[in-house]
Amino acid sequence: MSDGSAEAPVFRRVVVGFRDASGSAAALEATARLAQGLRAELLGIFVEDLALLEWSASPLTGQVARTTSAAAPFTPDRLAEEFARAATVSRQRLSRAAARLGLTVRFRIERASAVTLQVAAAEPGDLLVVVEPTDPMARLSYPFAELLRSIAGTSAPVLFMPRAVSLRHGPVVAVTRGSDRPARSLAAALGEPLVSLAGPEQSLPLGHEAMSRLLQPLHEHLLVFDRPSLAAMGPLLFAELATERRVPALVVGETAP
Amino acid sequence: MSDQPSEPSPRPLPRDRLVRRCDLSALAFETTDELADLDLMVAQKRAGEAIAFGAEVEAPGFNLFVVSAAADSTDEAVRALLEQRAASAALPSDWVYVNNFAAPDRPVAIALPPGRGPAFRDAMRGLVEDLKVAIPAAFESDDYQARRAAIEQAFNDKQETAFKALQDEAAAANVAIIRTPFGFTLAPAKEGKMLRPDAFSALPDAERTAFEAAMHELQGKLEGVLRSIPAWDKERRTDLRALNRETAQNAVGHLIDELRGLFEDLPKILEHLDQVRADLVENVGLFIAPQLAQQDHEGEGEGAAIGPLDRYEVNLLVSRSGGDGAPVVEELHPTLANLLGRVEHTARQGVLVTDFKLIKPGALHRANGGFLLLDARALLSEPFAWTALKRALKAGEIRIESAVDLLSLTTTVSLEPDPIPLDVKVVLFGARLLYYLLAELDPEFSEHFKVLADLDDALDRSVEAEPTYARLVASLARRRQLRPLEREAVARVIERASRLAGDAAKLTLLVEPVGDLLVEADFCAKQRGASTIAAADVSRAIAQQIDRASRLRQRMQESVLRDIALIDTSGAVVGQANGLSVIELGGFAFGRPSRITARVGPGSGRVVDIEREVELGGPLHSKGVLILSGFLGGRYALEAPISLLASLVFEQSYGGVEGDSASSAELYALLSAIADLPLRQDLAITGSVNQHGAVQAIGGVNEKIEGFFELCQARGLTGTQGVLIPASNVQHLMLRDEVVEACGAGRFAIYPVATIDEGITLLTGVPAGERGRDGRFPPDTVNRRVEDRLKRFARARRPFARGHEEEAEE
Repeated sequence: MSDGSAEAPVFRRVVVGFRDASGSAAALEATARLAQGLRAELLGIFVEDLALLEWSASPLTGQVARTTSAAAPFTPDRLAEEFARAATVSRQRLSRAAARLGLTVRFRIERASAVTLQVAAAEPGDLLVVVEPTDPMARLSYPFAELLRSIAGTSAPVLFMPRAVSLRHGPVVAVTRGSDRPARSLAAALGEPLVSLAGPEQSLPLGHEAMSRLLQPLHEHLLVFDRPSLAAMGPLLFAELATERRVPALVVGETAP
Repeated sequence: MSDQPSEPSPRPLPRDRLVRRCDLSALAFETTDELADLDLMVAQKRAGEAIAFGAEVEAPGFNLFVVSAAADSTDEAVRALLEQRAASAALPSDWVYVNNFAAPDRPVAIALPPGRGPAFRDAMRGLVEDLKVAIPAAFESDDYQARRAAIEQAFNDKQETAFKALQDEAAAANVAIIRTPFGFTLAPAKEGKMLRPDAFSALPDAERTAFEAAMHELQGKLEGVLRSIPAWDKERRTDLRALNRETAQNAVGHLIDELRGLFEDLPKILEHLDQVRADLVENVGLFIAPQLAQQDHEGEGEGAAIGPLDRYEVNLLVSRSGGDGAPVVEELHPTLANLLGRVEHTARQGVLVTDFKLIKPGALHRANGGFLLLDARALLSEPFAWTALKRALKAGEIRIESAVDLLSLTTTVSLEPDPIPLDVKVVLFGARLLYYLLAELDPEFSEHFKVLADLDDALDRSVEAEPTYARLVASLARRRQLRPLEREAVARVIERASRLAGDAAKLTLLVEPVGDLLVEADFCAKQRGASTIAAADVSRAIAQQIDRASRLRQRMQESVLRDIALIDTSGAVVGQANGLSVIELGGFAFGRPSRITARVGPGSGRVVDIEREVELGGPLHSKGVLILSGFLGGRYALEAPISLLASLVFEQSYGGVEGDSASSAELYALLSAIADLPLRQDLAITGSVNQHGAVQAIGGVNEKIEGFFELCQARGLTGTQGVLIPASNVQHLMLRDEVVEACGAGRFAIYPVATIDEGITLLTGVPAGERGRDGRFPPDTVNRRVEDRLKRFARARRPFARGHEEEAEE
């Protein structure tokens, strides 16, 4: 374990992706706080899923409304209208969370695949935030389930924000096989100590239970995983631990060769 | 026989009758420092007894109306008297308003034993502070979190289990379940990946048909799963609520029980604490941190707002802690709100809102159980205040009313607080006229104000009164922190008090002007660096007071001296007399001579009052003139009607004329005109007259004399000038030193006149004359000349009267 040293944060922007209207207010609040802590800009992007748009034109498909549990028409016009409404709701919720902290927020709507983390607006220095839906069914279905699986397979820094998050003071815990530099920078920016659970020479405990036990006494602020370690421990471990620990989890680094 | 005996011409009053000097021998002190204070009520035996009675009697409606011409000083005296009585009375209850949890717009009023209101308020504040710690601690405990997580997990598990089963079934049929912005849809898939529409279209018909059938079936099942969720969610919420209630109950129970122990003798408080406990359990979210509260509302927009904890506060309306006896409260600005209390509002997000904490007490709340002192005129001047006070007294309770609500000016949400039982003794202070008007015009007045305390305006100037009054002067000087008065200065003040009473036999009890005089005399003493107030200071203060107020008097005198207003002070003129009137402006009164003239001729026996004809004469003046007709008829028309047409006028009078104090002067002018005898213009006249020719007392005699004196003095005193006053007014004389000195030196004279005959003799230098045995007045008398002239008028008019009769017969 080592304390973090002061180093400029690497994230210029915090980019929150939205795909529907479900999303935890606590998670958005925590995202805004993180952006504030990192002195980063806050950008919201609502992704209108191209695949869904294509299917909406098919006479084959119908829709079941989440709130009424009743069948509802599913047409391109209807979907466009729902996308617009969901985007508005998402923008308002993010703006409110930001406003409470005195932050300003920008917001965009992009048409892309909902299961990819490659968005047109992305720039170097962005931290992509994936907010866990509160609806268990949304968590299990397309596109979130596929999006979650893709995190370990990409190279962009991605922050997973669990639905029930509780930002607290505590160390930034790095679970990395490679360099802990990103975690160090983050800890310095947040004014928290850094605790590295692994390093190039250290072996990592494998599996959820072992990690859970290891983290138990730490009361961490945030978890940082690198992709090589996830390749060894499980591609979704970061999400499982983040949900259990109610802390955000940052996934960084290149995928394992 | 004459109605009144003809009397010799009246003699001027001797100097000692013109003013009553203070008896210095009765003032046995050097300065007022040696004198004890005097209770201002000492000279108000009748009123004092009435106040004592009103203060003691318990029956409803026995409130007091204190009638006084001098509000301020008597207020103080009455207040002191009431405070004396209140000190021995029991302390009334404290009153608080608390939230009504069942109906927040109807706050609950609770009475507590005196002095315990603050303890209850502080205890509730302490409870809230304790709860802020205890409740979050309970809800953050591992035990609570574990139980809560289990409930949440069970809910999630149910959804996930049902959804996973559906997903497995869908996967087996190569169908993907897709989240849309507000729901779910189904799409064909292959190897776990959603098919694109063009790929789907390329499939064989049979395969497409199979997909359609599978998707149709799965959609129905999806609807079934989604329909189950609300029931599971309701179950979750019920479980959470039960958990929260149980946790809250454990957290607050012992704290509430501690409070119950402190107030176990007060059932109303215990009842309120039970309601607080129930409300706390139901609204425990108010004490929980936002994140924790939000967990119950995720996905529903904003998290639960943290509401104010003020609902558990106590609004301490009135407390008697630190006081002795019943309260004595004076409300100087008795508006409706200041009297009954008010419900204030505060702006929140552009909306006016209120709650029980914004209830403010009124004077009735503060005085409840004691005495409330109000100025009647101020009370009547405030809209709704008088009727509201009567309503409160009648109902025996204080119900807060708002003028805005009464007028329906706004529709702001307001409160209807519990009325508070009222047990107050209201003491109204007001002028005598106000009392009589209220008694006459307001039928409810006598129902609520049954005790009249009528304070005298003046004290009899007996032998004992002057030393007593000296103590009053000493008290006033001490109260105003003035220098002590020397004995001679007190004597001057006492003489001035007599003058202010307008009566040599009285001393004014309107202590405010006396106090003002003392302040001014003190200023004079200060200017000359003296440590005590001397008689000269008092005299100077009086002169300065008069001088400051006498601009109008000087202007009027100037107009006479420049012959703009025509007043003769020498010579003799037929049908013309100097009347005297008093003008009072801004509390300063002064006398003003007025020329009164009379013209006569044959007529139908009518005395025309020109003032009345042009509506410048008031009713009392007109009455005085009509009495003259009665006098003339009674004295001179014993056998035939008077054939006289006379006109009377106040010359150069452009304002109203009221009062009958000039009626004797008018009669002298009339007699002079009829008898064709000139009247002396170096004499002025005041006094009213009755139908028998008796001269009657009038008011303002001192001011009237001084008014004519000043004019004569300005023109130069001749030694023949003077004023005729009613003999019955001699007792009122308290003339200024310079008038007294002039009279003493024979340069001016005051003539007491009891009858018109005395007066006309003096004014004409001709005897009035008594009717002899032959029924006639002696020759060369005023009355004979009058009677003869009237007979001539009658003869002159007879042919005209006959002509009239003949015309009537035709």
